[in-house]
Amino acid sequence: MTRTAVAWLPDWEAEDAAAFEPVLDALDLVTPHIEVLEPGCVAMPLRRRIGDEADFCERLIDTVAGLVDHDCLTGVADGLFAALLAARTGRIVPPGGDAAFLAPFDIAGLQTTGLVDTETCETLRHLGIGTLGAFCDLPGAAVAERFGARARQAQALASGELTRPLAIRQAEPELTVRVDADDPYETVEQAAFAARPLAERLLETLGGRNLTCTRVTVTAHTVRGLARERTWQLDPAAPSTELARRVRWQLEGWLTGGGTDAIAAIELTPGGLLGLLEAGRGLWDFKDAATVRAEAALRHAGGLLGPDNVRIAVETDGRDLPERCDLDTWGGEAAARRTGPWPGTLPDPPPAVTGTGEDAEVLAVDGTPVSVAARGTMSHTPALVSLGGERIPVIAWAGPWPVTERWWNDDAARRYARLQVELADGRAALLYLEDRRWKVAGWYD
Amino acid sequence: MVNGVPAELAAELGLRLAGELKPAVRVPLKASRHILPVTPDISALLPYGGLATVTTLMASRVGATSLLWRLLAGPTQAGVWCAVVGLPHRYPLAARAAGVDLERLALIEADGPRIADAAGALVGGVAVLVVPSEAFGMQQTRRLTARARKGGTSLVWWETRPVPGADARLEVARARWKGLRENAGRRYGAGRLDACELDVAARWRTGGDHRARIWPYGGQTPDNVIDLRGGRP
Repeated sequence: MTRTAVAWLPDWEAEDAAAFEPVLDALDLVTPHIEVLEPGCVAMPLRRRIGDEADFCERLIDTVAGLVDHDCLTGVADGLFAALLAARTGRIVPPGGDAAFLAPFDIAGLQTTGLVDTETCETLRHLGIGTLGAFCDLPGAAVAERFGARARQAQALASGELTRPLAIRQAEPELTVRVDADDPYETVEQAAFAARPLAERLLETLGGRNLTCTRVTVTAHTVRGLARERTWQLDPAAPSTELARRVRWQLEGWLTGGGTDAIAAIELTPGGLLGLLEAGRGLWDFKDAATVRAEAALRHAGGLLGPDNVRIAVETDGRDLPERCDLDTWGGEAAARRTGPWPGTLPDPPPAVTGTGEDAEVLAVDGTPVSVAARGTMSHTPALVSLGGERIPVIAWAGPWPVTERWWNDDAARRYARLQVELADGRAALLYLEDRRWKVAGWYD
Repeated sequence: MVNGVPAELAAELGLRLAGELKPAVRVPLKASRHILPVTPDISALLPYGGLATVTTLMASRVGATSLLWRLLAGPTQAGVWCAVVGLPHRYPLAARAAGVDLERLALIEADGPRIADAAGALVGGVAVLVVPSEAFGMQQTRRLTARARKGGTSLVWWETRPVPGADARLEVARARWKGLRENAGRRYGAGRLDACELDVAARWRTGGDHRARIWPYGGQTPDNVIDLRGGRP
């Protein structure tokens, strides 16, 4: 005879079924047969060979606490209903003791069955039926007549007469499709020829489950045992030819880019699974044809040059020019956005050309090198800037603006002074004085 | 030919036939042409008031980068994708200061022959493609232009080497930086660089020169205020 155990996470708050997934993975280590009643509450059948029930519950609680750091209460009883109520207090009901265990419970516990609403419970209470035991003692026919079939069903559950079998969770289906080459693919054409039916097979597999995906990971296993893989964003509404083309671009990039020998197997793994119904909502999204075309072109360019070379700029935290701006891989993970106002940042406009890093010298009229004192004043009025041996007169300037950053940390501490100059040849530059050396931080262009 | 009284009358009154007038009428713009919106200050510089298929931008002039970002401000704000291929060391926040929506600006890092590869992949897809002309041979230039015309991509040549056949050629005639002062004899320089004024000259393929003053980063002083600081031009 099978008994039922219920594990209940009293602190679970998230409504999201996906967030509960890690807990289920942890429970899988203890028992593979699980029914999710709701996020935060699961039931599992206990078979004879599972051994001592108390031991099993201990193991289950330890596993959940250890792997996902959540407190967990367990209840064991013959039926699911009794086990659910037992889990509230973490008890194990002896075999055959369900009815006795349930009898003293308040009538409100009947709602746990999901068959009876609050109003019926209140009515019962007003009729003087305050506990489950009293409710069970009522004649079944009378309950059915007065409250309907669902209340009768609840009565049967409360008296431990009726149990329902558990609906066991299906394991995540294996959706990866793979093709092994009879003869390793040496050329792009051969590989692309194999990739097309593979793409069709992937979408067919997904379609059979009413799913579609927003990411595809292409993995190529080479003859020498290397594996190269790359994840692509995919428009969920795209047809299989689109996916095949994407795979072709990727294989083209690998095979023509060098560093990849003949391909022995190609694997496609879907990611970001989405119901077809939800994906259909994308139809009313704001993506117009031009955007879709542009994104396809960017993906293609990423395929040729490597996705890391297609970048989007974002403003990030920092004061200095390179810190303030980060280049994200387009379609990849987004970097952290700017969070604070960062006082001391140079106001717009910033220099248009940076990173050239030329050495410079700032000189006074008589050729004396100019430095910046600790109090933020120049030692002389800057009159000339020497760049690569050429001395250019300064016609206008501003600054210096000193920066002392992270002085509390020896490794990250930084001191520099910034100076804006306009040169006689029409150019304007931002100069930094750091470690007693002037450098061009950027050109205004 | 027209003879007799009507001809004499026409000659006397200076009338001409419609057929004779035809060559003098300017060809109206074709509806099929792909014109992208630009900011109002630049629109006077471009034929059809927007970004047409082939535009060149003289790269060697000071202020050319600011002009490029200002040129891309309109299209990116309109929500179309712009791609800049193979222009290293450009600081993207300057683009934002000039009005570019960075979410629509793809920066593609490439050098040498890969620039042409990337451009080939992007043309026809993105709305605006900016490429340095030195990376393309004559044959490649023609092919890319043809594909851009066919695919509806506006091509902006970052002209490090002359490119023939542009609808508009833009060139910064002069860049003035605003906000810095002479600060003669001082140990601390007042002011800061807060704006720039570009004198831009445009030459259209259909003929005609156009000039405009552009303030890519804003901060233009109103016409009725005279700048008394320094007196520098």
